[in-house]
Amino acid sequence: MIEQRDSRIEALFADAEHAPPDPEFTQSITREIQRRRWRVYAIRALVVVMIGILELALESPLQQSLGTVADLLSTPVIAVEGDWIEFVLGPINTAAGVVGIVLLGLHVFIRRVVH
Amino acid sequence: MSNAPAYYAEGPEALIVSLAARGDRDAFSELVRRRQPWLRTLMRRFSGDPALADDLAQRVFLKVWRRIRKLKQPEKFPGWIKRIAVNEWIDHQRKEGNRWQQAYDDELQAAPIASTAEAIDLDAALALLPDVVRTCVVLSYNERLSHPEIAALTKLPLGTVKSHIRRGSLDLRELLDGYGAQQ
Repeated sequence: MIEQRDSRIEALFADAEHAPPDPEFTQSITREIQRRRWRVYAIRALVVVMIGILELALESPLQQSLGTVADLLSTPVIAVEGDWIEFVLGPINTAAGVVGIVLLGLHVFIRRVVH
Repeated sequence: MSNAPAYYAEGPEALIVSLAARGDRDAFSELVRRRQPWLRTLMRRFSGDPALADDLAQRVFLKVWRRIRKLKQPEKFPGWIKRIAVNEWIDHQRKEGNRWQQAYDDELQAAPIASTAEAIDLDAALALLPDVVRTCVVLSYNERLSHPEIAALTKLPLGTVKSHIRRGSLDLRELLDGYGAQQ
């Protein structure tokens, strides 16, 4: 594609003053990159410390509540006679099984409605 | 970072870009050293303000540092950094609430006419053009980009770019007539 440019303006652009190389400018970029790097390190360190504190604070309550939830989820919904029947029905005859079945049903229902 | 190996200064740009993309800060420093006169000049042509131009150029280099790892083809670095620079300039215009894309109105048109008798230099003449026209003219004459390339960079319609460059060139000629006569 031929695009004509004004030769006089072209010459003026060619002759126009250019910004001189400035070592201080390069240094300022270097310093800014360094400063941002340190800021990222500081934020990461802060996050690590916060996670540590949170973990220490929540360790005991978390363990307790997780144990309670595990007990609840494995509790049979309907009392069944016989160990082996209870074992076989375990995946559906517990709170966890019921939650799973409800979620699966919801998933199938949504798929049918949406698609 | 300031203790860049001496041989970096002689290395081809694509190699320096590759090293910078791998996180070599000395290589990036070398890139900044090489490219800063061009970038600061481009930003001065765009903005007409040396302090603002240096500020924008610094922002461009910081963006380049953040994104250079994603540049898969080092030989495309010149076009890539130019795109970042133009986007930075346009973003700055928009953030400042300037009338980017507004080519001429009565107020803007009056300025060049009032100044034609003065002997002014190129940067002063460019400063009298509307932002969008100046951007197109600078990309055409300073960067020697084609009209479609300018349209792609600025996201302006091709016809608009052509019109801005034609109109901007005419105004520049008129503005610089006085300057040329005194040279």
